[in-house]
Amino acid sequence: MRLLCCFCALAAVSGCSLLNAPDRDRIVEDAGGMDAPPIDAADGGQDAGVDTGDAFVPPMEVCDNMADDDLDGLIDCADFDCAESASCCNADVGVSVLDQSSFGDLSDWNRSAPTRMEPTVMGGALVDFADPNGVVFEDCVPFAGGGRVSVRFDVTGETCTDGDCEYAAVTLSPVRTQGGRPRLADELSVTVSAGGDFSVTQAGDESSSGSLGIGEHSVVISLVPGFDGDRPALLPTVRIGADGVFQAAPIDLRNLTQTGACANIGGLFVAVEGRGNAIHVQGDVDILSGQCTNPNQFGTTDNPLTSGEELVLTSSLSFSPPSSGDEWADEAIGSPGLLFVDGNWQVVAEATNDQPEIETTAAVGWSIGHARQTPGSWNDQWLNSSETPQLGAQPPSCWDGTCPGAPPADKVRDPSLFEGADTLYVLYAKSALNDDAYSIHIQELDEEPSVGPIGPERLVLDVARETDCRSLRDPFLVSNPGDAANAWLFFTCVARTGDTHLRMQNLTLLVTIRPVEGEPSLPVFAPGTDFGRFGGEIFNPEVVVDRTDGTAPVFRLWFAGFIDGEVAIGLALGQPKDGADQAPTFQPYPANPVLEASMPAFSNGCVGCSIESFTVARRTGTADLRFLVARKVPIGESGRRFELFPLDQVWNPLSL
Amino acid sequence: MTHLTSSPLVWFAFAACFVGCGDAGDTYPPVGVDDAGETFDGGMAPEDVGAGADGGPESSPQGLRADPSRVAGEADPDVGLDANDYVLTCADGEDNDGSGIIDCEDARCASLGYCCTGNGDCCTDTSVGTMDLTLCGADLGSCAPTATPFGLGLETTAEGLVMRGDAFGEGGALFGAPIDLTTQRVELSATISPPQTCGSDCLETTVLGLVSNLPETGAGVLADSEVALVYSGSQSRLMLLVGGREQGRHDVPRTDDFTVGLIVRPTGDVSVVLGSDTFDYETVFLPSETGLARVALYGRARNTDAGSLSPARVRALSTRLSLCDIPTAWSERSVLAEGETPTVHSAGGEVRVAWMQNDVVQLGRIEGETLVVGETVRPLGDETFEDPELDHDGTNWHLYLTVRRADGSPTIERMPAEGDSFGNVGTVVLRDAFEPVVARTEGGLFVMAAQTSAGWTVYQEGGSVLPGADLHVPTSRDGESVGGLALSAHNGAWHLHVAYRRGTRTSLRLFVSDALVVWRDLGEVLSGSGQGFDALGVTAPASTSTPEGLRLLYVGDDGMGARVGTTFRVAATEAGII
Repeated sequence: MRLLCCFCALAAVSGCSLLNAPDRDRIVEDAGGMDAPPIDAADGGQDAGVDTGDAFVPPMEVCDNMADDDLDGLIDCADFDCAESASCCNADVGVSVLDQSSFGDLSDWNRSAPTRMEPTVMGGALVDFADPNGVVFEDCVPFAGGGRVSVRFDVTGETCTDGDCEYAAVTLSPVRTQGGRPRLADELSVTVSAGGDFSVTQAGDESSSGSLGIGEHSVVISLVPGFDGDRPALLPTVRIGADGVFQAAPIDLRNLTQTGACANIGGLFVAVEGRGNAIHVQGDVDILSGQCTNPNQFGTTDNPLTSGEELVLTSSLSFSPPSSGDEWADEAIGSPGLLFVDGNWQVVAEATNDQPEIETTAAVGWSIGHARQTPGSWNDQWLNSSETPQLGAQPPSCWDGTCPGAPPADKVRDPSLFEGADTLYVLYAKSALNDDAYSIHIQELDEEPSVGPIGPERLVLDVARETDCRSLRDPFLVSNPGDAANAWLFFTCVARTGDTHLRMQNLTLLVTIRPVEGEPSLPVFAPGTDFGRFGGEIFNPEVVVDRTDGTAPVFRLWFAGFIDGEVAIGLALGQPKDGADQAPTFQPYPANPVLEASMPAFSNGCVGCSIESFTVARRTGTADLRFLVARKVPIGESGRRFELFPLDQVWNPLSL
Repeated sequence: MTHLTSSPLVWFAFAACFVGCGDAGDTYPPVGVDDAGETFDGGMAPEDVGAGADGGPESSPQGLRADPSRVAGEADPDVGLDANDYVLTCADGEDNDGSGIIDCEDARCASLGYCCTGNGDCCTDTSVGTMDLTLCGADLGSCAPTATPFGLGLETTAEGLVMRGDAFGEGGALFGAPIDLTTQRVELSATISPPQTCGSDCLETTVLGLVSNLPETGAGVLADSEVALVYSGSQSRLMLLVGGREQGRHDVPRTDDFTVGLIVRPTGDVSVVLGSDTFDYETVFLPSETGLARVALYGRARNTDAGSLSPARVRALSTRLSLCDIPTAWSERSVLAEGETPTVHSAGGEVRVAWMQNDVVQLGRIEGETLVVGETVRPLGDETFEDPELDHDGTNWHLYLTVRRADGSPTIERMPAEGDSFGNVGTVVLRDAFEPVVARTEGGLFVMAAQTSAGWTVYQEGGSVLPGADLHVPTSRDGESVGGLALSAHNGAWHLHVAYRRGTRTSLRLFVSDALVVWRDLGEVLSGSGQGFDALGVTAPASTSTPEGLRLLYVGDDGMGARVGTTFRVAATEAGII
């Protein structure tokens, strides 16, 4: 076998992350920051030895050895360096959306050049393409989460005229029709020519070539999510025959199409092309759409939740039903909290009866409602909802003239849910109505919305303790994976000076939930952390912890921030460095933001919608994450409503 | 086949011939000639460039300035930089004069054309006006003819306008014509009298903003300000809201009249002016998401204080609109013709175009937004034509082409004008070179970039390599391949649009330069539209400066074929720092 591999040169030119991925997740202390002594390159840094010798050369993370090889606090698949590793993202793990799609009568396939002579099907194989033509699988394949395509070519002879050979090819294309061109536009194509030569091309440019000879040969294209520099990309690997493996240039995620089945998750069309009868394409074409870890991809399956007096959708929460006469949530709903408890989704959210637009110039009151629903009934009316506020005043606000007496003294906002020791808690921010110095409180909550909160409200944290903050918002509590008696409270610090940022506080759950004595809060991100496109202000922490039963828990933290004045969502990963019960150190994901209002999964069918806030929760026992995004939806020229929009995401179980 | 030329004179690229060629160019178009009358290789160019570039500061000024009348700040002998140094160092990422300010942020650099492009403060005034709102009498239209009330409206008083919104909706009016926030710098100013009293149960809001929707009249209406200054009577405070979100707050007098200013730039930067203080907010909104907006005054007045005699009033409103040079502010794109490698040139109020279609050069002109198709220029024998470039030297039109012979060797030739068309046998201006890109300074001086065996090279009038000119940076990007250049002088700078390809997608980046020596990378300015004829990408750009802005032609690709498209951006042509 003769294999001419252009991989190395290609990778060098394209900045292929397999060869030169920037080690973006290095922790400052280890990376030899400006004041830190360098780690000796000679020992590869494996022992974290420190001396003042050679310049530091980061060691490589090995992605399947349960060790933190590059000493950045992140192990194996939790390390960004392993995002492109096959051991962390195996397409076989994904669900096959197409299964084995044989040619049969071509009912699942469309011709790429309908005006030309039709390819011939015989015994489930394509045996004669006649003119340059091909067949394209009927719908776009969502490859953004990874995937694989397998084809078998049978080279039956040498049919070349003046060096122009008949051929057959498997092609991944952003379009389904070749128009007047001889071939489909290709993000990646593997062509097998008469005589057995093959070539791998991208946008028509050959990156690899070789010879296979007469006979039957398999071609497998694997696509794994990763990075091209700091841009999210698919990293293609082509396996040809028994042992020919070629790495092709990254495919930028922006090059994927967003139509049809790929409307929410970008993808490509899969085609089998050819000319003449020298190459037969045998049997089935396997097309797998992977579900690898790709934090930029979301799907939409369920309806948004609404709360207003007008039932816009059948999945409306029954806050403020018009029949109740208690229209406390008819103007706005937002800042949701979500938790999967005992087979039900539990939702809490802030709401108000006055226009939040007033809030910049006058005090608007907010209260918190609670609702419960089974997953299968998400799109039904949420009848099991609190018709009056679970927390806060009724009505919350008085500008609309509904208050029977004096305005309420307080307002409550930003609820989140926490389950500890078989007890459901709601955390929230509370402030005097005419003030914005919020403090963080917690209260037990019955799972049944009609019962409401249990026991006394307890203050957890306030600005008297957090003296650098003028307000504490967005509380979110997760169990300490290394200490069942403790939990980590994440919150937004509206700083007295400087940018709004995230902090975390170790809490004890024993007797009374309170800060651990002698342990002040910590900044979630080290000063000077590069948030990429985000401006300086970061808020709305949401955390999911995985690998809680091992010694290397992984904290996935999503946050909100501003990009060009619009709220967008970013992701960071962290692990404790000095034991599972210690504070995790976080580093932002290189390809942030993971969600913007302009992204198709969010904006599809919602022109002008904006992200207001969000929450994240995992459905117990699955790898599925559900995001609930509070968004503002324009209505006509001078109206709007607010709703909670669900988005789903799947993480590769191997990375958990 | 022996190629026929209308003249034995040729361009050549030796630096040694530079002076002689200039002398020989007593008639335009330029010709390159040596004593032997031989044609020289374009491939010699790099050595020549190197010699010029290494000539040191004592050599003649490098490059060719797009507009020599634009001067950088005065020379500073203390730091050893003269004005030409600023021209060459305002995009090098260095603080050359030790001022602590880098490149175009430095006042010495700001007025240079290549610092002006994309600068929201480097613009040309198009409209300035002030309305005294205390003189409206009972009729708002008498002092503000273009005012359009919405919501619960507003009330005219002898002390100014009073907003009539309540807790359920807003009241106010829109003023003036729609403003394109993608190209216009908007400077608003209002004088406000505070309410006499306003306590905690007082809802007094006065908003000065830019509204993109067209609010209805009646109760319950909300204006949707893209950018707004919100005055709260109860808090005696101004808040800057962008997209409804607070970006900053500033205290204002509780009793005295005060004047506030709001500056909104097409770059997304916003400033609040309060007295002598200016508060800057960088890139807080996306004008491209907004499009057109109108000036608005609106608010709410729900004051239950028993002692309150008068609500907040707006006494005066002034506006200043300025057109800027924003590289991403393209108008709607449209298909011009079937074909490839277009060229466009504007001269004397005429916009001529040409492109390749079925191996012939198709000529035409754009009248308004309509293409008028003209004649064709066909190659002779087994030659092929490629890469047409139109030029006008102030007197005559010229057509430059790559002519490729049967053996594949390329020359760049200039075809003679024949009425509105051109002959098909031309003058060889450069051998072993192809893909000519021609442009002229605003003063009419000629340059031509072309591909040679050593890459992109820039030639000047007379045929020699332009000393110091360097296209290496714009034409070299890791992982991407170049798919054509377009060069034009606009708004005092060279604008170089470069097409790059990444996979199946192509897009244009803009680089700007003062003298073709150093370049500012302004990033991606046009990419595939996602639908239609240019769904996947845009490539093969051609550009020309017109009195109204910049006309761009390109090849759009939808994955199934390529067609010539066009777009336009309204842009300042003689902008200065405001």
